[in-house]
Amino acid sequence: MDRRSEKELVDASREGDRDAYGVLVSRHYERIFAICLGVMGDPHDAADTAQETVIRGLEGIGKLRTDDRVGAWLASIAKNVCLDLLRRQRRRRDAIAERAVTRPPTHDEDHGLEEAIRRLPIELRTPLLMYYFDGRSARSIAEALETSHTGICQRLRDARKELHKLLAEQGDS
Amino acid sequence: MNPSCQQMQDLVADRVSGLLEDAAAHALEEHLRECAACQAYAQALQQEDERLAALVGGMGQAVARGKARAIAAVTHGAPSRQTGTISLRRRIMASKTVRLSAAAAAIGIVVFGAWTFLPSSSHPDSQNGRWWLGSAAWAQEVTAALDKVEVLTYREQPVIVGRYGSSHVSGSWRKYYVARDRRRMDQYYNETKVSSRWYVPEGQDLVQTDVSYEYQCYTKRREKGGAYQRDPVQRLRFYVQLMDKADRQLGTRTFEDRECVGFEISASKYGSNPKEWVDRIWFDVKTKLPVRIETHGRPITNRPEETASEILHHFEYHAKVPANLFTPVIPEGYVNTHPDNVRKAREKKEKGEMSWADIPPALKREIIAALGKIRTVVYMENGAKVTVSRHAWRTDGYHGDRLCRTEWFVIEKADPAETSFDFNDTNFRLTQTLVDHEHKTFKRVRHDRKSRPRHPMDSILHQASLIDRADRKLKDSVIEGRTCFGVVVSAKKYGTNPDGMLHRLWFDAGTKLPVKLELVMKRPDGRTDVLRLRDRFQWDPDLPADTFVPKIPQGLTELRGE
Repeated sequence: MDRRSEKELVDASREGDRDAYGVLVSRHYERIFAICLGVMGDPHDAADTAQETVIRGLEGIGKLRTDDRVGAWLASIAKNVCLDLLRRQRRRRDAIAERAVTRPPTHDEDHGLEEAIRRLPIELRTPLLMYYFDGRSARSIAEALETSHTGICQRLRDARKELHKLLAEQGDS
Repeated sequence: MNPSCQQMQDLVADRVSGLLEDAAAHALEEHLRECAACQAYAQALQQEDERLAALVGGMGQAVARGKARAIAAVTHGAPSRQTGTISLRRRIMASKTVRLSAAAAAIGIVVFGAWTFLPSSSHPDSQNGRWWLGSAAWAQEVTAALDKVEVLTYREQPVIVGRYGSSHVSGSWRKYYVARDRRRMDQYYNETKVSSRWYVPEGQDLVQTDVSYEYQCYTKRREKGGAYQRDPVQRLRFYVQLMDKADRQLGTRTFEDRECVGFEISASKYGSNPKEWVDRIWFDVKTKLPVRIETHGRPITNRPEETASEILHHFEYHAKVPANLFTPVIPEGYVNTHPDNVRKAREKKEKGEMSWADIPPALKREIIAALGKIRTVVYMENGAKVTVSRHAWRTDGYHGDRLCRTEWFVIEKADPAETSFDFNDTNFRLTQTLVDHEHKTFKRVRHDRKSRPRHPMDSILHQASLIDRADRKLKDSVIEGRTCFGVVVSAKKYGTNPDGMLHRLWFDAGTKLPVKLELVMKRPDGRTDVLRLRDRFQWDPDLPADTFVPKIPQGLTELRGE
């Protein structure tokens, strides 16, 4: 395990040390994935956009000041990557790519729940999914999304109530 | 619902998120004691929380894969799934950071990860046509060839592998048809098509249509603004470029009547994956295109006793398919619902209600972990003594005290490495030698990798792993001098087992190892017949060196044939 501090890793990354940047990615990947999953609503999309996020991060690491929080910085890139992509897709009708049909051999898939999550608005879906990736900490989600703790608590509350309603509509609560 | 209930439901939601202050928690408790509606609401939200946690937990593999790819992309320049390999490489090259590192490494050979395409190699093997031993220049040809693919078809075959090598080739497999902007997947069970899935663009959106022929239903889902998805051709490009990182070459083999060359690579080589995740990729020696891709050792959600392998094969790179193949067809009379709903309703009708005991998930993991450390075991099964090691086992059957029958099962493998999977090892042999002392006969049977009997430890692991499907707990008991906890599991919860077939499983409360494993059938009069009893386990005993050397006494007649 790389024991270098975040600051040391950022400094090394800015100097072109890609392994150091790889360590930063490794430390923050789950949160990036959670944000991408929240916005895109699908794990395959999330993996793709998370990858794009870290590549954009690599390209832009030179602009990151040492005292910037790299986690929040990557989180904001992730949000932009996902929203850009959604916008671009709406504009480019011919650029529709196909949906992944290969899934890892997971068992006991909860289709009803997946469907209800997809139907949640992005602003509720994102913190709700992040909650399960981020050690069940509202404070940590607020930090990543650079918003208030109270706001995140409200969104988590609304997300749970809305999800329950959607599941009930599907006859799956 | 009164206004107070509405407020209380906010508190319920907060409590599930762990956000409730003590005072509010107290008020909520008071209210729940009196309000059945809010109690039901609280219970539902709690269950949804557990489902969410399980769903996210089940994505562990997808996250790990994504992480591995992301790290590989930034540390070695692996291809993104979003952009083409070449365009991504250009983008990475264009970044200031990379230009700096490229400049720093300008003396000597500049390599971005393992898959920078070097000019034609002077390696003697590549001159002799053994391109796979030379440089990776061929990879550029292959990725260029993949760029021209209009319609790709292939099959995906899952294989479930026990910890002791027993493998089960699933009867369920998929055929994929991949065009540039649309896709179709047909799922089969043996030769019967059970479902189809289409992804077809429609206006600015992408429409997913699922039709289950098995459950005579369909669903449709529209992705607003289309969807941005991974591309199987991109996945092939990724694998093409891994050869330089191979852990070992697998030599040549014939698959689908083509001479192929293969290599093996641990997934830890291209990301922070466990080293037990191993991939094997086979290329056609003539076309250099991938013929077979195997991923091994992948975990299965909630099934630590097994791993999953996936075989992608029967690739057709320029498949001719009828144009209407990509047009969804919903047969008349099919209902608009998810097949799971129909399946659950059918199961409920056929199998009746099922009850579930509250078993902590950690308990199953502890049991499987304890069994996973076992190297040898001796136990009794229906009166026969069974002696087991990793690569051999034997059973000694008795009539009273008299030994009447001994069977040895000995595995031979070309390569004893852990990554040498039985079903994939052409040199795999399992020799069964049966000596019938009563009838003075003996017989030898050679099983190949497809017809091998299940390793007894895989069978024990399977039975023990049923604990998380328990109907109810049994009262703690002392068995063979050990304090045990026990559960009852209805066998109807899996497969097509009948109502009344039950597992009674007893485990040592200290070591978590099985003490007594029973499979019983309940008669209508309430009495039970024991179908299988495993008990008197001795874990990790030292075994005499000749335990697994078949001994055929003089004068016995050999029986031939099946």
